[in-house]
Amino acid sequence: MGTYQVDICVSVGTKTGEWEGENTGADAELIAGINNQVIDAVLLKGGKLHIASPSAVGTWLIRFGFDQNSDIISLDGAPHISYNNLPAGFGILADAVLTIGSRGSVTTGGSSLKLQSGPLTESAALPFVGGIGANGYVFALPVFPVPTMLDIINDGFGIETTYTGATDFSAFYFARITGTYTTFAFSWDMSQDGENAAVGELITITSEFSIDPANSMDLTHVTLSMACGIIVPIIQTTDLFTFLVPDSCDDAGLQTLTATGDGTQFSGSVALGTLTILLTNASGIYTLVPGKRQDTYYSSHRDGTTVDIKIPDPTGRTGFVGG
Amino acid sequence: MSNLRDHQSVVIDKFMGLWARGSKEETPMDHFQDCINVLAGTGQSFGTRPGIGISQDVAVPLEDIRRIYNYPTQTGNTLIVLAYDQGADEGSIYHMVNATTVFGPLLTIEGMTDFAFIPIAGRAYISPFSTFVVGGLNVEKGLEDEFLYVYAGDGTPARKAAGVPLTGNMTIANGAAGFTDPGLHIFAFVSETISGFLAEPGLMETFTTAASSSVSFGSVSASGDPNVTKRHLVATKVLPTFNGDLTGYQFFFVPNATINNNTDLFLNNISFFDADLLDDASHLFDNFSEIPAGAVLSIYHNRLVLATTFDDISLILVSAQGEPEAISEIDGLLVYPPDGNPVTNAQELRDILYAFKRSKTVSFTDNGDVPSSWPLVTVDTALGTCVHGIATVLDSGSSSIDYLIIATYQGLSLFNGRFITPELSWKIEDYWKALDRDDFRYIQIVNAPIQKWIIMVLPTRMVLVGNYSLGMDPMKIRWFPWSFEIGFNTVAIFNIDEIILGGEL
Repeated sequence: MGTYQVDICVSVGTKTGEWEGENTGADAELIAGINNQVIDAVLLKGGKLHIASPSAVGTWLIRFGFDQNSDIISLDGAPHISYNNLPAGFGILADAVLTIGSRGSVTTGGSSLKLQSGPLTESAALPFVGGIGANGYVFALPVFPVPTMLDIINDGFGIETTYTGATDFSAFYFARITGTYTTFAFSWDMSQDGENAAVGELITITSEFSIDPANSMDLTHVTLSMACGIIVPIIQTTDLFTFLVPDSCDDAGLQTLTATGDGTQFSGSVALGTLTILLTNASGIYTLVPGKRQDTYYSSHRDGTTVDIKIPDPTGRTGFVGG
Repeated sequence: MSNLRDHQSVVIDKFMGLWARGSKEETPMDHFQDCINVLAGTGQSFGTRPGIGISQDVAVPLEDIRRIYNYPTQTGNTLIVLAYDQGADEGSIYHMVNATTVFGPLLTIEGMTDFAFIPIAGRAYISPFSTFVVGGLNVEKGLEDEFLYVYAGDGTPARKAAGVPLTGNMTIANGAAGFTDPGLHIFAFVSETISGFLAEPGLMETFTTAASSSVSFGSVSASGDPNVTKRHLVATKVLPTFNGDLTGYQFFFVPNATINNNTDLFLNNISFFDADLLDDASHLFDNFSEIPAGAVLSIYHNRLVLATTFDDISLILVSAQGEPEAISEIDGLLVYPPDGNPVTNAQELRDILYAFKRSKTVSFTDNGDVPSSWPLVTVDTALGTCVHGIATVLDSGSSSIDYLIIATYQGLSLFNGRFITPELSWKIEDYWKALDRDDFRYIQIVNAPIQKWIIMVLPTRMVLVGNYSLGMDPMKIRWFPWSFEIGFNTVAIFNIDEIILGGEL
């Protein structure tokens, strides 16, 4: 287990009102403002996200987003990585909280934070779970259903603030989502792991999720892939995933089958096993080439193209007992 | 290298290939108890085997390759290839001239899963065969109702070897002033194909010549075979009596009496004396007009040797000297004592023709007379070989240097008139004997003296290489098995030292 922190917004979604950053309402300044990690209990506006015109009576909303490719997640205080680079089996536990630094006369009574359940849809106001501390106001993310990291990354969050008086003012900064995570280690079984397979051959992945969910992979929340082609499931249940080796994998040779979690059970990718996709028809006339470091075969497409495959495991075991 | 106390370090600096004899613990330190896809390097080192590359640089390469032979033509070194379509059960033969030029199919025959081949004077003689199960035994023999074919090497389809006589009714009359020995003669014409085959005399007619007249012939039929290029006049000497049997007398070629085409219908004003008739033509009556297909083709003393026809698995047909298509049905036969096993191979070595069955070897020696008179000597009653079990050398197609390298059930052996023991494969005896004997027909061997390799395709469709750079000796030869993504069926050498493999998935 460890701790994570998502603290770098990368985009501005819809907004109402005249929000501003350091000087202007440009998105870059708004982002810089909400990402500003300077814990400043004194200055009201400088470098923070705020409504440009104080006492603009009304309710003002701004949404922020993350993305899967930017380095916005810090695990255990380490340098930030992207969602796509999360370790295999990554999953957040149910204690995620959203914290935003806030300054101004409009405190929790006038402002609310909302987790988005879609880029344009926010949740109800998040419960305020802590007072003003050195790190700002703390709001808990909904406990049920437990958002996945993918939900957080894909949906972002929003700030809604209501001004009722002429002097109302709020400034926001250092928004972050923190919590604890774990790396799940799941078991599964692949029918032809490490073996040869042909185009059109049925590959079967099995799990015991229905019996042992804590230690088994839920096959309904993964996408399988190989570099050579798109895998389309024939059967996909919690315990069973079957697919046919796609035509595009003809001649592909050694392939790693990868399962990518959708964030429900885990995030990131896990290698399930390897397959060596056989050439379906490389028959023909060949020449031994001295010094050649790999074998070149006619492509199974029989169109004049060729495919290079490494020489199968040159091995010599000596006369010593044990090789 | 530092030594541990009470331990002596062992340096392994020689790698002598695979050892597969007895238990693994008995493997000598300088051998591999197991190896794959490695090859001897310089000295006694080893490294990764060489990779393979494609041999054809065309948009649609040949596929499902069953057999390749090196085919030396008048103009260069080429390959002749059998591709077998399993779905249609058809074998098709192609002539691969180079990486970008392929002629064919030259010949497509249902059921042709393999073929025998011998090149003679730039032509390819092809005999289709297959494997039949006879009494539980796999027997390789010529296809039923199939024949020996000849291919000219020029891309035109292969045709049946030999040929049928001319048919029709010619007319004969006295020609211009000339000379003959007056009296009754029988005249006929012998067609000659482009490959030099002389058919038996046809268009036979009797005529009584006059002393001071030549003889003229009309309505001399052209042959229906477009490969006929000449028609030669043959005649008997004067017959004092005639019993009505046109074929019962001796014919001779008439000098200077040839129609040098297959179109003219006449030959006029031929004069000759009986004393001029020296070149016998009667033997042509005994020749096969269609030579049955066999599983074996070879050359001995400039004679074509064909064995193992569909109907006679112990029969060897031998042609006249210098005439590969002229095989006498009477005395062009060698009989290998029948024992239910087929003749599998035949090869000349040091002036002797050796003929093999799967576990027997005999020899025949040309005594200068007709083949049926050649004496048979039993060489070995326990060892023989399979259809492709004799190594071919370089790209000559010939199998012999001063010895033969032969695959027997015992192992891969040198043969110099007898099988030399221990066999070359002595070190890998267990590996060899694990091969399925019923599939020995899949073995094909080449000897590449430049690389000093013996390369074999095995029944497992893997390749076994014997490096004899340290000596052609059972102890010094180094064996290395190789595997590939596809199974290989055949091996040949091309352009002196280029090793060709043919396979199917």
